[in-house]
Amino acid sequence: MSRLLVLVMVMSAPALAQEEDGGVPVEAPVVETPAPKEPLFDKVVDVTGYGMSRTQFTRARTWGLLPTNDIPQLQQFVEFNTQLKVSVRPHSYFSSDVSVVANWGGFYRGVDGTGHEVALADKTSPQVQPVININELFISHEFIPELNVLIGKKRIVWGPGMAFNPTDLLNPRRDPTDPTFQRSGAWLAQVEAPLSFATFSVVFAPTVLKQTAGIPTHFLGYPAWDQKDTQLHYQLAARAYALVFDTDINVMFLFGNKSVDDFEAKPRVGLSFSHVFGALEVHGEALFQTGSTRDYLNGACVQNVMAALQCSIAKTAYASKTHLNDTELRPKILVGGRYQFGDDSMLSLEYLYQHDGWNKDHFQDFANGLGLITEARSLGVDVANFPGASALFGGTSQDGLPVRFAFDPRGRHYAFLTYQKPRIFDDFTAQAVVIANLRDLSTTLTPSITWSATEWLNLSVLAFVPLQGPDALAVKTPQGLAVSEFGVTPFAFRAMFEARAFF
Amino acid sequence: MKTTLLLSLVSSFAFAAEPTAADIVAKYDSIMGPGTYEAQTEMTATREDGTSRTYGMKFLKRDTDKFRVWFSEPASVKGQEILRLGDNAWVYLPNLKRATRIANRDSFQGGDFNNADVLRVNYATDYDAVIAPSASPDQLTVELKAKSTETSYDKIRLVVRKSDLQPLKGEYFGTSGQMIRSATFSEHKEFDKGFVRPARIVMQNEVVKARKSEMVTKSFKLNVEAPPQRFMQADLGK
Repeated sequence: MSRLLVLVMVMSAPALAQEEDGGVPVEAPVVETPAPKEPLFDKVVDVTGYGMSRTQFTRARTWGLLPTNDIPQLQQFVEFNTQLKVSVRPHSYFSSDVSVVANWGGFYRGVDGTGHEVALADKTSPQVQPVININELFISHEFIPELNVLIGKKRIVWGPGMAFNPTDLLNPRRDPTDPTFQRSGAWLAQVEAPLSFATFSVVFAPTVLKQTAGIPTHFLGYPAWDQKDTQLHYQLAARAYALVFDTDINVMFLFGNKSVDDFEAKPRVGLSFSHVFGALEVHGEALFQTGSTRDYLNGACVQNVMAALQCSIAKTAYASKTHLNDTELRPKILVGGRYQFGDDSMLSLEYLYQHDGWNKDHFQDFANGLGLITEARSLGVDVANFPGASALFGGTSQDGLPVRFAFDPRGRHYAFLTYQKPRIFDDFTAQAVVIANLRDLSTTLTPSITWSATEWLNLSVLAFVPLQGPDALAVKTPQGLAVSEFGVTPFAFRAMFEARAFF
Repeated sequence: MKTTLLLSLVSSFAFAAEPTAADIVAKYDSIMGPGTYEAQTEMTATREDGTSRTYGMKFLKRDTDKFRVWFSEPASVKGQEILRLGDNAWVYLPNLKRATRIANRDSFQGGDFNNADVLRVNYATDYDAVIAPSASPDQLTVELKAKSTETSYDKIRLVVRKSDLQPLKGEYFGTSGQMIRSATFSEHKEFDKGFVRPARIVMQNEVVKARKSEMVTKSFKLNVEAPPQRFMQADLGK
């Protein structure tokens, strides 16, 4: 009897196994589990990219406090971008992301000696130069799964901030009105060890000091024929990342010498976290450093024309980095959250604190300086290089690519609010971005609508409107004009139409 | 010894004849989300106006909770990636060159699948299941109730083929009790040796009837090489 039972059992076993397709299985499907299949190496060449045309009209604020002579009211950008990825051998690949940008600009406006608006002759300004931009160009090799090396130009961002990344000391700054678009990186070498419990990265980024047509020619030190200094310019960054209690944690150590700013041998520490609570993502990102490379106006020199003349005679600087070598801790901290609604719309709110940002007294010095500019302009003096004015012009990022808005926050407290609603109709996506200086409540409002007309074509219209904020919170020039950070932007509004075709 | 063998045999046949709800859910998980696999799929999302968008993508899965997606089509999303690690998910956007955390409830590429429908097929962990009456003698039905509020659906009614427990239909309910999605599983075929699963899943949006998304599996390979480093945030974009 027992033999019969054993025989039945033995016979029934394969029968049960075969019932995968025709009968009721006993347990999980019986699937042979051989050793993992090592994929054969297939050389993969992957090409993609886009063509972009942007037509932009900027209304120069000729009646404002800043000169508008270098702002083309009408601009046309054409960008052709190609991204190439080639697997050159097993575990190695080459990647490039290169843009060629052609610009045209014209219809300049300024004021004459009597303060009346006049048309200016077209000119070759920095904002209308053609640019070849290498966004990324690198080769990566994985020696073992736990160790890979990358050399070339690459955008590496560790912090979770959406509109602004205080810990990012490597890359060109992102345009906060366009938080979904920034592709340019930094020249660097990275060694990364992704281990089961944490990922460790070390990056060495030599500073590009000379370049020709977008191609870097001198890293680290200045050439002998133009030796501005004899120092080495670089940024060294180390990062440890771990997922702890479902929270992304980054701890960063940065050490730079005359790299992205004027600090010499400057150590800094960065921290960040990101966690999701249901549909809400919460994040924080902080950079801790002593001292500051920020320019502060010399209040005594900008009080009035006489004071300015005395400073000029005494060769006293109008602006200087007065906190460059001090030992006070001056953190930059960003905290924020992003909520995803049931209809896929998204609301993001972030707050940025900069300890070294200008306070009301510093902005008052700025307003006094603008008052001097106003007087100087009426006397026909070229004030385009007035310290601090250039940051308000916008137009190009630090790598030369045209951006919608060059954001260089100089105050202490900012809020970034973004609301995006996809599919408001068909494939139309609406978005509004508000950036506010929380001291003077001056803001920039950036509404946009994007239509994904086809799977390969996006059409966008966008406006950019700086708003003054309440007069009560603004500082005043000696002439009594209210000045707020975004209120003095040298254009009244900017509108653009963009077509982007992907291939 | 005799008794043991007899009991074993009897229980095996009894089990084979009438699988429990847990057996059905385990089988569903093993079909729709087996341990380690690589798949090439195409998802077509049809919208209210009748127009559609088609996305090509590659899936790589390891263990029960590690999932990776690479998008290859259309050109506007090429290079986009998704990583799921346990309850955590990130999307890598090539235009931004960085990874961003996403919630489980986000729709998958704006279609009618949720990220969790695609990235997390682990009903045995997420839901309690009971057998429900079936409309056909050739089918079995289980009702799944969410164990927590973190899941995409509050309740799921899953219909499988009685003969092999292959999924045929799914109905997905929100916390209000309203059916918000329904799925049809069809074109069952053998993708790998002894491994059968539906090649086509149509997810119907029951709230906006004109909307639906169709996921077609082009290839499906089990037990591929899937090193743990492919499932780390640092690997996104590489």
